[in-house]
Amino acid sequence: MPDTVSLGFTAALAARTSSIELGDLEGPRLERVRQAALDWTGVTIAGAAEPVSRSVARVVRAESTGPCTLVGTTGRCGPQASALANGTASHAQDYDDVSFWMHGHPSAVVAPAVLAVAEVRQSSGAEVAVGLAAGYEATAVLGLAAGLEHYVAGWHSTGTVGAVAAAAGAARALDLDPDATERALALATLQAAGLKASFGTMAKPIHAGRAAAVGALAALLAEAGCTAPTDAIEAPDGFAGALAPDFEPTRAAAAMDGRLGLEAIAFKQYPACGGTHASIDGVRRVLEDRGLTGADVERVELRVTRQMEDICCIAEPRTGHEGMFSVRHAAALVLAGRETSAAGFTDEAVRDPEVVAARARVLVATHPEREKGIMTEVTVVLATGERIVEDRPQRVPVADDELGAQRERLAAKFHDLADPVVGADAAAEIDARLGALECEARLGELLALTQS
Amino acid sequence: MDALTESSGSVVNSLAPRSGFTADLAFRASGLDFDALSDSVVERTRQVVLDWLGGTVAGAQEPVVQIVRSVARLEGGAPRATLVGTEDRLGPQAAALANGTAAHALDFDDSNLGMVGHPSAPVVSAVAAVVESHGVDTRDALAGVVAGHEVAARTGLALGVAHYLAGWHATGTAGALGAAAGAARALGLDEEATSRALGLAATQASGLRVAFGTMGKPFQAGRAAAAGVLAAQLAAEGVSAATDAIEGAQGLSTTQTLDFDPSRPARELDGRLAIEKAQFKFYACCGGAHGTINALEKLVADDILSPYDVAKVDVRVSAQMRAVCGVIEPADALESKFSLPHAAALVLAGRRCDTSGFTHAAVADAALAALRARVRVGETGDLTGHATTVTVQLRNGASRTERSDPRLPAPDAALGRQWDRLAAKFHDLVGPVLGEARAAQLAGVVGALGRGASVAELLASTGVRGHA
Repeated sequence: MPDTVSLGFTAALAARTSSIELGDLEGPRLERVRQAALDWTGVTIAGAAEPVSRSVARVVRAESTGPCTLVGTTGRCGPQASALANGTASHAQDYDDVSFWMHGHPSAVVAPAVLAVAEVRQSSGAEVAVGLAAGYEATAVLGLAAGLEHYVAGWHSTGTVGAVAAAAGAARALDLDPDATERALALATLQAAGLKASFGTMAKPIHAGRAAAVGALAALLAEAGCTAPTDAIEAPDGFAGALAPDFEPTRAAAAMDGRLGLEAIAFKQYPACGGTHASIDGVRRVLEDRGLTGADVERVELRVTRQMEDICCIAEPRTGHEGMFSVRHAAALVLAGRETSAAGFTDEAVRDPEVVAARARVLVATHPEREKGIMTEVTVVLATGERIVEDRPQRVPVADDELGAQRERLAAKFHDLADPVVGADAAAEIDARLGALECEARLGELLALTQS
Repeated sequence: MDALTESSGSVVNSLAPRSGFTADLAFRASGLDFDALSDSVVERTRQVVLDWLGGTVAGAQEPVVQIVRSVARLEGGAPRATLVGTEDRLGPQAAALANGTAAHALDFDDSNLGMVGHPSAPVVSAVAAVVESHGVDTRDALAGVVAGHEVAARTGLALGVAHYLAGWHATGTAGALGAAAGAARALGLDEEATSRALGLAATQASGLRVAFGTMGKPFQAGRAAAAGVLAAQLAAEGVSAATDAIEGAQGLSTTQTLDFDPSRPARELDGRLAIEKAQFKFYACCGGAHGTINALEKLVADDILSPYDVAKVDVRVSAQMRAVCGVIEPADALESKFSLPHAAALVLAGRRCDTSGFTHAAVADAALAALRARVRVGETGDLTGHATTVTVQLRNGASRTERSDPRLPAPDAALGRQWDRLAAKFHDLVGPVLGEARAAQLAGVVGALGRGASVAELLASTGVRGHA
């Protein structure tokens, strides 16, 4: 890594992301990139069938033609168009990976931007792997510098930080030098957007698609010579001043402590907002540990942070999509013995009378001591009156020695999602080839397998 | 049941109430009836289109637009929308991006003081993109332009000056909402769909002042136009969005300003449509120098002054404009656009303040340098604004003073003269690109919009053939 002490934040970030090499991704790090690629491919294949993804795909097919694959569906188009469609699809079920350093969803923005330029340039799997790592690096460095306050202020980091990270990934895949990479990051910073007001609507996954498209656009413009401010992120009239009231450029170094951004990536086992997972896991753990069923439970009390109220606390979801943002619905699914896969977050599932009845036994309140963060204290009150508390951290990436077990879980999730769309044979081939992503000569051939 | 029942106030409700500012904008935009517009508003709309078209044809030749075009071409697609002033036809989002960037590339496009931005670069570029690609008729297109100006200005006014001070470039932010409203109205979306288009635009709204002085600035205008087109297209597809994305919690009002005031637009517009407040640039320099040019031109014309008559010129502007365009001795063409003495020297020399006045040759001209030396720059005492006082000391000892506020819109009675001035600017910009004959023909078509001429045919005839 170059000496970045004397550089401004944007320049230092560009120096860092543009210099990442395959050699930096030894052993477990490369495996984490491969697993992120596998998980992204699965959720995108499945997400492409969602109504919002279909709408976006119709619009981009009318707009654009080109070499880039629309994953999980049919047709090809240009880099911005494919990044928009693929990014939207990858976040459409809110089943994609998360990064607690980014406070958002890294692969939904980085992967579509990297793949878009990779297909234009017929890049190799190794170039894609390095591009992904560069994008993940930016999600962490900028996400940490922006801090949780950025998210709390109303910004959807996936759209804002994500746009810059997507540019970093695309710029690295295009092999841009530090100067051009800095201009790419700046142009994407000028386009950082995404309001939390959009949560619970189809606009939320579009944030991811738009960020990916902006990232690809910014990298391509920078490569073509477009000028941009040199301090776009840290300037008082730039990202720091306008979007990040608690911007702290040194926060990343302290938090990351020599680790790469890709090491913060955690994967979802349930296709709903990450804030709901502790509720599912907590109730399920109590039932399994005690050998109980939902019928043995008097009620469940979920104590969420104040921050989560605006994110995933819809009390009475009316649609499957709203159900994804309802901790109450999530806990009720377990109480009612329902699946917590995609089947639990359909319009039918939220209206299922037994689930509706179970929701009445789930109470949500704010935790008396927790203002911020994504944490839920789950208290299961049994019919006997006994109270059992589950309160464990969520969204934590696995340790290196757990990567093998994680791959098995991710492979099972991938096949659940991909087999019905591309067929079990193609899914098995994608799984195997992404397991050696860096050996692919041309990524386009592999992506062709992801179409329906 | 312990603390949970007692703290029922903290039990989260599922949905916030939906009403207010965004819904009002959707109502205004979707309900905009072309037939109900007065003749003067329609004339002002034609003038907005004329000014946008001239600036975009000329701006399309700038390096930033050539770069944007080269990347936009990667998107391929059916050739459904014209990139004016070029030989390219691309998809509507690509055309909006390129045309919006071109429209603002020379910083010669119209502005709206209340919006604190440039409305037409995003709005007209977005409307133009859907007009060709979706077969929009001319009355809906012009209604879209009026609706887009309305939404851009009202959004910018509600966000307030605090939005600009926080680092935002309203051309990109409020401009994206205006672009969405314009495209939505042109496409005939109903009120409900328009409110979703506004939500989809708000959640894309971006653009930072740090971009000023780089290609990033016009890029932001182009992106606003493209975001508006996408928002309208997605809304037409049925995509859902927050319908209180401006005023609601975690919307623009809380993320992009410290001083959101939904009542400010009504106060500031005072019963007029926003498009009536559009301000045109007649001089190819910073807006802060326009008051100087206006006032001095009047003094020169009234007294038939020659450079020989003038001993000294005293220019007083607001503190803000002195900071922005107080370059005393410009070093290059760019600096000359931010030099009040240079602007005054051009007027005294009888030179035009069009693009020819702000070139390297003009800066190096010895006669102009001598005239610049006679100009003193001071302050009016105002903190901000464009109001300017110019006092001329004559060699015979007399002095004359003239005051100008170039941000006041032309009254209805002056619209004919304003058209003539805009037409002269149009020829200045378009003639070198498309030739004098086509420039005259295009201006004639714009003048006939809403009375026989078609926006779609106008756009299709602005391409450059065999001339990239």
